[in-house]
Amino acid sequence: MSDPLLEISDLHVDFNTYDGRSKVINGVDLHVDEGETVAIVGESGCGKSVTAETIMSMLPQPPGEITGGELRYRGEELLGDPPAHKRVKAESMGMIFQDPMTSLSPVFTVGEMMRDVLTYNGKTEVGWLELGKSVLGRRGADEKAMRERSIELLDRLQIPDPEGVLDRYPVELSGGMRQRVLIAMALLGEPEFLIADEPTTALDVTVQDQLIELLREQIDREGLSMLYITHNLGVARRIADRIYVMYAGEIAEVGTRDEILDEPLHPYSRGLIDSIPKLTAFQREGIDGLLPDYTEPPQGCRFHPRCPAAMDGVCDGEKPPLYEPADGHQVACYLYDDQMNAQDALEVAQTEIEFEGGSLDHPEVSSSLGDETAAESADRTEMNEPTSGQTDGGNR
Amino acid sequence: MGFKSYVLRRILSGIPVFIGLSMLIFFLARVLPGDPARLALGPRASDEAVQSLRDQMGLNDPVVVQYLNYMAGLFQGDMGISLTTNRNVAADLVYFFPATFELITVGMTIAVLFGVPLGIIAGQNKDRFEDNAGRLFAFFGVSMPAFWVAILLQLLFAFYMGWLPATGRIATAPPRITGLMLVDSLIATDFAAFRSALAHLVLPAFTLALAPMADIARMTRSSFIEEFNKDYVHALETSGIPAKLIAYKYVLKSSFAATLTIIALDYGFLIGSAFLIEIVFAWPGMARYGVTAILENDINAIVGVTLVVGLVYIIANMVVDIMYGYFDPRVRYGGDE
Repeated sequence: MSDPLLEISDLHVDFNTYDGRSKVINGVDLHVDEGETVAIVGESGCGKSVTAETIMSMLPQPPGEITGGELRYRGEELLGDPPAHKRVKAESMGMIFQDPMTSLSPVFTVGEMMRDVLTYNGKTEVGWLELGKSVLGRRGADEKAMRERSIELLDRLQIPDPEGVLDRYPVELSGGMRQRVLIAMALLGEPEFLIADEPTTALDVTVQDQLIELLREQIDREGLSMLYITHNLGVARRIADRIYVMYAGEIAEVGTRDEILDEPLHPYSRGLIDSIPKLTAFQREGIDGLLPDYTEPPQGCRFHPRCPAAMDGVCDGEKPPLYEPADGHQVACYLYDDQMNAQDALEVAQTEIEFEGGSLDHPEVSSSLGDETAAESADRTEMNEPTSGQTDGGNR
Repeated sequence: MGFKSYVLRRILSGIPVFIGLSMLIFFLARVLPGDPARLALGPRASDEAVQSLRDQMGLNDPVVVQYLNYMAGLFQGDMGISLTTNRNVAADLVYFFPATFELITVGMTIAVLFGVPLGIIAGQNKDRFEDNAGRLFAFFGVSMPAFWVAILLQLLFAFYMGWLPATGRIATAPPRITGLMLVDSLIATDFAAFRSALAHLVLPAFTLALAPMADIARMTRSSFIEEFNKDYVHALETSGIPAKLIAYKYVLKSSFAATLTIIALDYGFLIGSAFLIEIVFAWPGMARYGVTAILENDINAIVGVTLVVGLVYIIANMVVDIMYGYFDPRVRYGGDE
């Protein structure tokens, strides 16, 4: 395997709050290979967005503070070198945001914003004269080419009347349209690496589905790498090659999409997948309790107070290392160790981990996730799976 | 709905406001205690003389008739005779208003030109040295009495340094066309006069500008900080638009509405309250004329000055309303969805 495009190792991020110091990210290792889409999955507040903010150097500091770790992009270390970080970010990274309603400037037209992205992309500085011209709306000679490029991109994102949309203000567009514009803005700068921070959560399910499909197409077409952050396992199944399951600022489990969704090993992953309502199975209980308090996190494995398989004297001691029962499938849990092969590990998972209301004893039940009947029933829930898009143009 | 119809609606909505304002001012002036005719003629004048002046001024008519007569006169440029200057108030205003207008416009321009960048710099460096320095300046700006600052500036620049004249508007006036010395001297292509007018303007305009400058800086700072934390700023940033462009183009445009409000309010406020500055700098302006009118119970002059001040308020707010529409399309399109 070649060097990863983006690599985070042993990242620690603290937040200073009134209650004390919160260790929000506690030793996260993560990598995204070239052309790969990686999802980070976890419940709200587990540190997914903080990880993204660290990569995009937009962590609010203070209160946030990066206390350790490395972030390498194409082998170049960025955390200790803000100018390089700024440059790499401007040249190679793009981000799609969560809330399309607030992520576009309300006072400029879509076309104006796209033009600025095209004109200034990759530049970190701009002169006062240039700035004045831009404020006054002076257009350069390549205005027409930029317009065409914007139109072409909007068209690719299936925006009806792309020409008209360019001259409109974001208020005149629906949520789904705005999110497409946001994706277009992120793609305009021709990034190699995209971060998508739950870009579909604010939209209704039919539109969500179209957007994921569109995003998938664009990613494949341009050969981009993407880090997709979501709390929605259904979305992760559709878009990701590999999945990181994150719990309380730590990586609980890493594996390919199928490994994580069909053969989860970590008790938390199992609980998470187990808590998806399914038409074909009985009601499950899910995981009891809440995320821990970050100022005084539990000793050892941060999940052990909620874990049905917690072992006294083991799980509350040291932080568990990442064991690797199968190649590339890593899990931070004392139930497993390096000597185990994939088969044994799965057996352990099935026999040892029992949530109230029944264990996850049939892997094929969870794999019915992708199945349409199961999906439709899950629409109204938090951990949901969008229906496949037969409905067209839900929100125009 | 386009921008044009938005502008038209704003302008038309000013008319009923002006009519209401004129009524209010007119009737309030009539209920002021003291008989203007008696005051004008002095305590020794005979009752007949007072009565005949009252007749002449129309003070014996019913108030409604007086008002209608006044409004009819107003449209023909007749605002009644001032009892102190013995001239038509309209003529007096044409003489005094441009001086105040020039002073305040230049003052507000200075306030905006310095206040907005100060606010942005403070906003970008929240809680750092620049911000604290700006805050200190803002507190001083609002809390120091203008006449005191005026005297200090006069002492420093006029008496000790001798750089600028202490009082008056101009050394030798160019032929009067607009009444604005800067404009008139340019029309007459008399650059010596222009320089003189400018030199006379600097101190009073700067003194006048201090308080609104502080206001504007504070308002710009806080709305800038608020706006800078919005999602779209991050989104633009990650799309590769340089920070400076985001700050001065995107954030400034959407945070400018709050500043505009303050500018309009301060502008209207200054036009009526430049009195102390006009006294200290011996500036032949309308505020001074208005205060004299009030002290003398010069009823026509009071109504005239108040009406002009009110009109300036209305126009300033109208201009700002129109500018809101320019700065924020959501205003034009009747609010967010």
